[in-house]
Amino acid sequence: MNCNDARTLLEAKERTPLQEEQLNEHLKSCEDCRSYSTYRLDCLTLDDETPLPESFKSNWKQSIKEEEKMKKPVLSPKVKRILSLAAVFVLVIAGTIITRDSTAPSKTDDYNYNDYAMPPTGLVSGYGNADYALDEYALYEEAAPQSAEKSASMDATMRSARDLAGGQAEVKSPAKLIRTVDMSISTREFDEDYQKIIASLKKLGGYVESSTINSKTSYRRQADLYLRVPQEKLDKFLEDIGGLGRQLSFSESAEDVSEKYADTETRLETQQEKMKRLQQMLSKATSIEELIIIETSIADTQYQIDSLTGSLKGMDSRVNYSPVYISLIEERPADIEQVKEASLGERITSAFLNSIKSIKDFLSDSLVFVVSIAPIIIALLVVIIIIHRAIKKRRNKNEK
Amino acid sequence: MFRKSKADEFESFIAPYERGIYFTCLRVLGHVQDAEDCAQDCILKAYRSFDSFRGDSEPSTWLYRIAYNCCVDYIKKHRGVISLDALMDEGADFEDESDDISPYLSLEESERKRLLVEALSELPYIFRFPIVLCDLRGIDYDKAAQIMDIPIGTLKSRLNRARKKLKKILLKNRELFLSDDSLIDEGREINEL
Repeated sequence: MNCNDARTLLEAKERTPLQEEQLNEHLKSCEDCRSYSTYRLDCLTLDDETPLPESFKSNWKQSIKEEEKMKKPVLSPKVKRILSLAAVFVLVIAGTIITRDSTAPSKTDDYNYNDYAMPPTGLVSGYGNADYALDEYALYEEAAPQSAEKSASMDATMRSARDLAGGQAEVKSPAKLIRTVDMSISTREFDEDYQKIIASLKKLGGYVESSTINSKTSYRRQADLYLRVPQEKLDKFLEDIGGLGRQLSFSESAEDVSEKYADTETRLETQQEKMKRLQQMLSKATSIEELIIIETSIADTQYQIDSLTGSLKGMDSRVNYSPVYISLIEERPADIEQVKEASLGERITSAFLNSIKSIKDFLSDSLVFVVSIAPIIIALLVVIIIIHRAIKKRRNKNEK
Repeated sequence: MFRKSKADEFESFIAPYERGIYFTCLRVLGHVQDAEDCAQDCILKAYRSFDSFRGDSEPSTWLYRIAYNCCVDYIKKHRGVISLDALMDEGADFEDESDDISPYLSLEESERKRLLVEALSELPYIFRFPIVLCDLRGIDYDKAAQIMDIPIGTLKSRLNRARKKLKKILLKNRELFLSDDSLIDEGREINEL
């Protein structure tokens, strides 16, 4: 055995009896190795007999207890994981609910939107705003519990009211009468009924003053139409569209503007007479001061004449072309189901299908939400990882 | 739901290594009070990061690494800034002047250990760490290299030089020792070995 082997054996934690014997033989003859062996043994047993100071033991235990008292209760890793998952779940649900309307496609006055099969551009003018207070959900809640018979009865009552309003108008026959109609229709065939309304309007010589179609959710659309129908053909128009869908509301009013019209005409005639006189005075004016005063008066009078003429034209327009506001609301399958008296089986099936559809809709909305926030999450993760690594690196550096 | 017995769990975890940590600090720093403070700091740090210890390395390696870092911090903080690289250069020109170890062997065990402790305290810190870890604590080279975060070759080289330097100090101190205390019977000691 040489010295290298002996030292390797001396450093080994376990030795066989044979190795032990060979090592002892070598140590007897080699002072260096004997010295190394003694050194190793001295080193390994250096602290064996020295007791650990009591103060040290009690101090570190005390420190740990104080540390534990100061520290807030720490959640176990399992609970942390569950809470993290719950937080992500809540975030996705809340985000989906909040953003589902904003992430759904919405089109207003976009007649190139293929899915909606909108009418030709020529039929619609896209200016103005025909939005008015119509709470479709309230209407549905109101309409939903009613049976089909009740709905039909309601339609008949509305038609009677309409006939009465129109009838009164015919009996009274005022010279200047503005007839205004406001109605909302619920329909399963949204596109067809929209086309029918526009076709009937065109046939009777009316026009669309404005049209707004909203689709805030993916399953229901609403068209708000502001139409102008020739007064003499208003009844015919209402008769044409009377058979469309279910009428949810109907109101007609007739405003008599004869007196106001006559007043305006008189004021206009007066102003026109005044204008003639002013022009005569202008031709006879001798000084510059007179000319200035007369021309100022002429300008004021002309303004009054223009204003009164415009007012008369506006009234004529409203008298000749009656304003008709129509809200055409698309019915959901669930709404249709609610209208008729359903059996228990049908209700269960319907509820089940609705739940499936809701889940499907929710999952698709969630997917859209997750995809939409993915870039933000990725960017945040990158920043967090960079900061975490920097902190870790700095901590390691400090430890070294 | 809440981890309330962490301190108890940690106490049973640290118990087998408590002595090793304390005496590592003591032999590196050389002072009882310093060693107590440093070892206490080390145990507290281990307790704080106990939750994050996943068992990737052996508990002893993990704990001695913390102890090593605590000692380095302690030295820097209490003994002024010490450049370990500079200390390395200090020992580079060391030459083993004498191979005659017999005078050391002639001493009694308790005297040898006393000399050893004194010699350790004279060693530069850079050499103290490998001696304490590998020779006093009996830690394998690869683990000691992990603890000191240096390549194993560097560790072996440093350890070799540390042992030579230690031997030189031992022999020098032994002569002083013998001049102070000449009652040792050299022949008897050699025979006992």
